[in-house]
Amino acid sequence: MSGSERAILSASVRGRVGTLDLDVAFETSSRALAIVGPNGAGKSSLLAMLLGARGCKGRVAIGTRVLRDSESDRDAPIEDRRLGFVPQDGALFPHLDVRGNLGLATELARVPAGEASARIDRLLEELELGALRSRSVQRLSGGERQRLALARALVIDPVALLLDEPLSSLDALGRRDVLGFLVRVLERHPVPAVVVTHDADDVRRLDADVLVLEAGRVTQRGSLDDLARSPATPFVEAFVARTLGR
Amino acid sequence: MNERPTSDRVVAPDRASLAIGSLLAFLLLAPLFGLVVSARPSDLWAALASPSVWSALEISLVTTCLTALLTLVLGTPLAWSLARSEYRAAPAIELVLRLPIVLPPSVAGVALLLAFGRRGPFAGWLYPEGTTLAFTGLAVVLAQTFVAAPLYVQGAVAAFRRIDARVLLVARSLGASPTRLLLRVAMPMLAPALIAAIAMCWARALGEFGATLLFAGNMEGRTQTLPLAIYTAFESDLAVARATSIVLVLVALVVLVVVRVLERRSEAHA
Amino acid sequence: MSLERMTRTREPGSGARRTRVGASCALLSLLASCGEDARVASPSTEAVTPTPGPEETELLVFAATSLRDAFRTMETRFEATHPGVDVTLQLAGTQELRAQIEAGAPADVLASADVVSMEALHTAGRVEETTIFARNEPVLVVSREARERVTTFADLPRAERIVLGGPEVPIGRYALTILDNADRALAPSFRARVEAHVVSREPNVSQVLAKVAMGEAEAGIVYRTDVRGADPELGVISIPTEISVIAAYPIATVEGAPHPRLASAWIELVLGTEGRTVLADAGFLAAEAP
Repeated sequence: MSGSERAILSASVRGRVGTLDLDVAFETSSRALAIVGPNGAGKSSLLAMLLGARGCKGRVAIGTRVLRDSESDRDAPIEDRRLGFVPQDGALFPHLDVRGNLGLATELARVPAGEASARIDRLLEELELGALRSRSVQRLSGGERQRLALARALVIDPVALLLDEPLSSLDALGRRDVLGFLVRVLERHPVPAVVVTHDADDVRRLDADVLVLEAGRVTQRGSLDDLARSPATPFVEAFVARTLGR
Repeated sequence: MNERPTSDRVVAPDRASLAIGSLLAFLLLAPLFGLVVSARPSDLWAALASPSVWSALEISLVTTCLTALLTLVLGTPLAWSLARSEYRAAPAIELVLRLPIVLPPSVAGVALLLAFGRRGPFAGWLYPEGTTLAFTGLAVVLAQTFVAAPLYVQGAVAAFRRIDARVLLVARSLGASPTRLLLRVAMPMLAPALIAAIAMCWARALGEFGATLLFAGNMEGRTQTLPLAIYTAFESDLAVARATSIVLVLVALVVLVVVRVLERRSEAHA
Repeated sequence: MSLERMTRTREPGSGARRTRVGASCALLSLLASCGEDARVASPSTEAVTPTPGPEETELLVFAATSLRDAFRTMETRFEATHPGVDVTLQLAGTQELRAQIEAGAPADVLASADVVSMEALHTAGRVEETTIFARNEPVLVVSREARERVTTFADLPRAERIVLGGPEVPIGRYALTILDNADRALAPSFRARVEAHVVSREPNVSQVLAKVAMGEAEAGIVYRTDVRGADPELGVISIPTEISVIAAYPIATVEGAPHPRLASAWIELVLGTEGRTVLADAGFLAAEAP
């Protein structure tokens, strides 16, 4: 895989989630992929299937690495998938300080010690957390928490990033702060990124491709402009109207 | 005019509650008070000069520490399994495992004898050479574990249930196998709560009397723990019994204070 | 094995009040404290003269635990011959009963398993004149596993694990005296050979019997009354009279008893022919025995 070229994340997953019948297929590589859709459409369940936290049929692969293939009965355990996961409000390790959170991550990922501390220092700098390195995570602001969650996902050198509404718990200020970092991170780390979001502004800032998920199915796929030009469903229409209206 | 915070004004206890509650507080504190005021320093010295008290203290410390260790090593995986299990019988199992907490210690002792005694169902492979578990230090540890370990398991299950499931998911995604999730993430994260739970278990083991007497017997230098020594001393030398009791009360008090401090820290994390 | 077997009590065949309340009661009796206290002491005999008073309808009898069966039988008979009278038995270890009387419990009669405790109460003016009404004899009890090996008291060192009462309680002191006597009468160093096999010194006689009855220990020394109605598989071996020690049980009216007339009637029953028969049925020796 050449330096800035992103590997391709291809997924074709099926499974039942409660009463919802989820059946989604997509590929993504060069741009971040934003997954949008009404509540209960299956967005978080889709992420859980990619992560390996929820069983599914079908196939998930990143580049040549096959994570799941129900045909050949391949189902890599969560800990072997090396996916950088950022949940809604960070889900930081509450008993550790900023650096400790990154340290534990590298330990769990079995990154050699020397390499680990180099990566940690680099990410602390990149996400401007250096001054907070010894601060308990209990005392971080919302934006700082999400930046640390992002750093923690990146420190294991993931093959892809999965972000589940990473900005939704933040106030406007924190949102702007984290979004800026997120844009830079996605530029610097050439891995496929899937971002679940509710906000068309986020999609625009991230310059993301959009996958619209409604009731477990993909109803539209394209750029924000494509969606605005010919919305396939009333949901898409309302979604783009919110951002274009401003 | 009144500068107390609003919450104080809202929830400050009323006089009736204070008065009625004080009755129970008195009931609980009076015996301890009686114990302390009845003691003379000379009694305390007499107790500390008695070799049987020292031997009992040593046996108590060694057996309770072994009990705590055994409980930690075996009880933590058990609590973890119960807390994470979606198996339908798990709540019932958890409930049954709490039974030893409420059983009278004498029942516990008889039950231990019936199960692990020379005529029990496991005697065949427990005692191939005609030995016996009863009357040994191991029997003391087993009796203590039987009555005290459920306290730890109960506390640990509650603590494990409080963990944010997403933190565990993140840890798995970072590379933690299920075993390392417990050892490297869940246990360190809950260290204060687990230490508090094991301290309660240890304190209960320290006070264990009935089950030990029935299952392990009472032999100075071998199975006579501090509570057994106190009971024995009651028959002969009340002053020594009183002084030894105070030693036990002080140790228990220290443990409770440590537990409280750790609980505070645990709450800060939650 | 049934829990019932581990208890040291039995139900008398006569119309005694049925008090079998199942395992929990049986188990609790294992922890009953040393109601078996008994010490050899000079007998003191004197009947108590009843003080006239108002109509008495209640009687509170404090009795050592080992008297349970005998006194329950007597309770039934007493109530039959004294219509309208309700007898309450308070059964506990002698030490406990003594402490309660010292603290002013409103008891009418005290029947103790321990002459020393009774004498102390008498000296302190808490009980009136005391009378020995029964004696109890220590015996060697042997588990079924050891019955073949231990058939006489002289075989005791051949038992693998021996439990005795602690030196603080009477049965433990008697055991030591018996072993010392055996040193002289049977073989030198008999006591040392026995003590090499002692695995526990129990705080009361119930614990001694329970450990042997369950097979954890192979032999122990308890009172004759303890093994009445116990597991028939237990071996019971008499201790030769030349080395044995016999415990005495005194009875007395409590000083200031609320029901003095009924109290002396009760003591008359215990000392009389009927009482002696009931006591003998329970395994006690007569008061006049050596």
